[in-house]
Amino acid sequence: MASAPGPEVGPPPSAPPASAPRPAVVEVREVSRWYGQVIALANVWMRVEGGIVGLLGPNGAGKSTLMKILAGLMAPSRGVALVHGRSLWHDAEARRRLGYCPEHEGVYDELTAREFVTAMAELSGFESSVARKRAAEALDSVGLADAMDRRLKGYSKGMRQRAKLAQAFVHDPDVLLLDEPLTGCDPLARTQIVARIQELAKAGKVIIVSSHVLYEVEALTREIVLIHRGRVLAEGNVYRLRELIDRHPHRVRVECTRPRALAARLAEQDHVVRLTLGEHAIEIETRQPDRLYDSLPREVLELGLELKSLSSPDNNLQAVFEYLTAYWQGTTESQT
Amino acid sequence: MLVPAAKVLARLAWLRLIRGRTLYVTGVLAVVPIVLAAIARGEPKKAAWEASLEAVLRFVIPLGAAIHVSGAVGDELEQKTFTYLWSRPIPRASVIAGRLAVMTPLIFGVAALATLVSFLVAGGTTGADDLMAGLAGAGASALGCSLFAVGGGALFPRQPMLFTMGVFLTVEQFLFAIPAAKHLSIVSHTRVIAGLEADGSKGAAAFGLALLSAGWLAIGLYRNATVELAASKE
Repeated sequence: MASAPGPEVGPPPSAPPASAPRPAVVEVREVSRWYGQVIALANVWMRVEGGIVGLLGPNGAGKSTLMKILAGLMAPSRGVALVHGRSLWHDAEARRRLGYCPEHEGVYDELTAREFVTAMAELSGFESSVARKRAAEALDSVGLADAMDRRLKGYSKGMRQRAKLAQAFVHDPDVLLLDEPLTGCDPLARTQIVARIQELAKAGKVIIVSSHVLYEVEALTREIVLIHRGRVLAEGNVYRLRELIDRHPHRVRVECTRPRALAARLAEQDHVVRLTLGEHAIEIETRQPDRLYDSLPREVLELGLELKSLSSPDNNLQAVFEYLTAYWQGTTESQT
Repeated sequence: MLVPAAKVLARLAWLRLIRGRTLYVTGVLAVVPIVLAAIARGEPKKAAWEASLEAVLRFVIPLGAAIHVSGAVGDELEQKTFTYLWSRPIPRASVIAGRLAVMTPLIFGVAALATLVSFLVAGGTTGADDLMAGLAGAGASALGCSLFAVGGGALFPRQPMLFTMGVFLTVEQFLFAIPAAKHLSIVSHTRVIAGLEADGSKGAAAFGLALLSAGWLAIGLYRNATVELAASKE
């Protein structure tokens, strides 16, 4: 589990917890990483002791950079990232206990999935015959039994993701780093991948999954680390994030005929914080989106309006992260 | 772990080679010296043989190395496949070793075949000593050009083939003719070993080539060991 940084939502942790109940499997201490003038990670602390941890943040938050540092593909500009107490950037042998599934789609297109995964098992130290057997089992477990002798070039995105996942765990590592493993997958592939990840967690693997989609992470775990603009904003249970989302005024845009009439009705409801009226649309800010979604159809029917579209500009995590950043800054300023 | 990993990576390199298209390009290149030998066949002395051997040493082998070896590091970076390799318990040098283990013998084999056929086509004016010197030059060239391609390709991993091919087709085409600078030329040393330059010492040429090649290999290994994945869009 990721360590609790102290307050439920507050400044990113600037020091490790006073006492660690269990030795950390994955430990990130004061890690910063910059590319020239661009800061990708800033003073990140993280501690994972077991289970599945979701690394959640919008695009460009620094999730993949953190994953690459943990996988030993990249050195931190400052600080240390350890897996089982060893830095994978400096210690190639320590990578034997790690499986990494990158976010990108790149694979060896000319190879079949079986050849690809077998080679990866061999590179992890298995004999050729054992590697071949393990590769077949790994591919079978992600639902690619029938397609494993086809070249990767002809694979769909979902199939590629499954092949990438298979190569990550073919050597039975203790720690799995899965960078956006569900991106671009169809529902079937998504279900199979989620099921496989959960099986691996049940088998005792420590798994860090990154995503920018909340419900993807929710399908896998309740333990999350929120990362935004290179900083850890909050850590803990996903329900806390849900509470934050609820606290954050939620915007809904309704395009309809006679928006002024709808606005007049909605203005009477106590959960509505603000109404912005346009020529053919109305934007509503509410602290209780569920109540709004319940009442909207009723109001539209009663007024006899023609509803053209209903959308939520807040229907992604970006707004929540912006809100958290502002919240954190406000907290810090008020403390000083 | 270097040798076992290099063997696996050599197998991958071989599979990718035989399923790709670059091998055909090399095959077409190998025909050039044979055609030259046929055209110059009626010329006096060793003109046909020398023309074909020049083509092997100045074009077939260098371009073969640029095509097949220069991407040893850059291809993995460009296709991002190195993330699978470098997150595993293998020395990074095995990526280069695996590529060289397959491609250098391949380039030499193609060049040797072209040299042998050119020798037969040129006919009459050359002896077995010329052929042996030519094959030795081709072997030295395959190694030297491959190691240059490793270093040059790693220096410019985004355009490895363009850089190495550019050097082979421009700088190397006149460097060997400049007395003060020819020691820096791979082609110059291989021409001496192949017997195309009468006034050079083959031992000194072999030593010079070994030094140059080691230098380029060292550059390639260093870059390969230190290069990181560029900041990609997350």
